[in-house]
Amino acid sequence: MIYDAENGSAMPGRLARAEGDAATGDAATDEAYDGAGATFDLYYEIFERNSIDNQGMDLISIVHYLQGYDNAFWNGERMVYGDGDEDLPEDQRLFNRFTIAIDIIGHELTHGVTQYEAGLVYKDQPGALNESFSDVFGSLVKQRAKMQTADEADWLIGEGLFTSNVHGAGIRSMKNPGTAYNDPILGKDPQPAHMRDYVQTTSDNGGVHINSGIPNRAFFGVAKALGGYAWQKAGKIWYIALRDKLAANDDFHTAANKTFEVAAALYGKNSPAQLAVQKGWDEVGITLHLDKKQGCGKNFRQFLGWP
Amino acid sequence: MWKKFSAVFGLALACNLINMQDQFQLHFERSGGFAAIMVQVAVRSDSLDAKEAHKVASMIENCQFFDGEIPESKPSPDQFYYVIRVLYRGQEQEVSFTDAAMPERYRPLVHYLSLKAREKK
Ligand SMILES: [Zn+2]
Repeated sequence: MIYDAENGSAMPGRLARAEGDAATGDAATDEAYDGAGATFDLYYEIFERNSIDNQGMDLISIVHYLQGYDNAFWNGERMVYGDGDEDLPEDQRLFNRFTIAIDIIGHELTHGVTQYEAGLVYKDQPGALNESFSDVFGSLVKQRAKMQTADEADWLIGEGLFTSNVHGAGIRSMKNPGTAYNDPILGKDPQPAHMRDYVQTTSDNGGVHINSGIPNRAFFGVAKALGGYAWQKAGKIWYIALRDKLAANDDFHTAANKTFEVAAALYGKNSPAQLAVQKGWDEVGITLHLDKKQGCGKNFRQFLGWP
Repeated sequence: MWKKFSAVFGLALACNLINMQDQFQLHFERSGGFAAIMVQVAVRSDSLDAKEAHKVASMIENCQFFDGEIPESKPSPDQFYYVIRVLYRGQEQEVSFTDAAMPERYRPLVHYLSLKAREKK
């Protein structure tokens, strides 16, 4: 269901498009509707998840939030989208409306899924993981909508969000973190692609949107190594890890170990999928030790109901 | 101690509001958000024309900047985090909040400062 805040702050605002209604002709309303639908479908058809809470929760989106609101967020219950910086003269505008990229919609909705599952604390490394899971599933929504393989996908987050006044292809690049934009006004994309470049900062809850480049690049590496459609294997591993294994305060290394364990459970020890997970994390400077991790299985076997 | 300072400072403002003979300064910073591109701006009342300076002073007063309650902000996905600092009569006070925690009375001031900060880019 899509509500229109009519450039004010009252939530949810006027009902603009209910479930099953025809397109309205308003770009933000229809993009939010279609994007939420594509995200629901990815979770339902591929991961057998029924909405954000897995209980069929209504997906509520609010568009046209405030004036000059160059942002989108998940408020714990709903997705909220601004129109960009439409209040500035056209030659000064940097952002288009925030529904313009389908992966932003998948990103916001995934914050809801994370809230109901791993509950990753929105700070430091757990916060950067929270951000990264949102980018991962946001990108998978886009890739599935376009039926692109890992090789064909651009792995950009927020493609088309910048206006033509900005030198940038998108907000983040999962394939090459740190290269999404380089602009005289905005500066350069600050994301690291490797642990050696991890950014220590107190801003943005400990750089959650900066250091997410590291797990983003790890996921890209896994998906690329496995080939084909990224949502089928790499996405499945990441989803099961988010749903069943990750805990609120987990850091990158713990997440790496858990995706490695899930890969073994789903596809077998030393399977190409498990080795791809190891390699993906290794490429960003997070080394998993095969022997140790292979031997950790007692609790995990119990968790899976194995003897 | 801080509470006492705030109370005294707040009382001064409540009694006098902002006296336009005295200059004031504002510093605004907005971080976080989906794109995580920080913007900031500093505004000095003596750099504004008289009408705009009065408008800003009224917005600060309408926020109850110095004595109003502000709910605690929890880190929340992709929400902006705002920090506003006001320097007046040699004393300084700062407030901060996320989008969700922003009191409604702050909206005009935040809108004004956000626009200033984005125009500056
Ligand atoms: Zn996010």
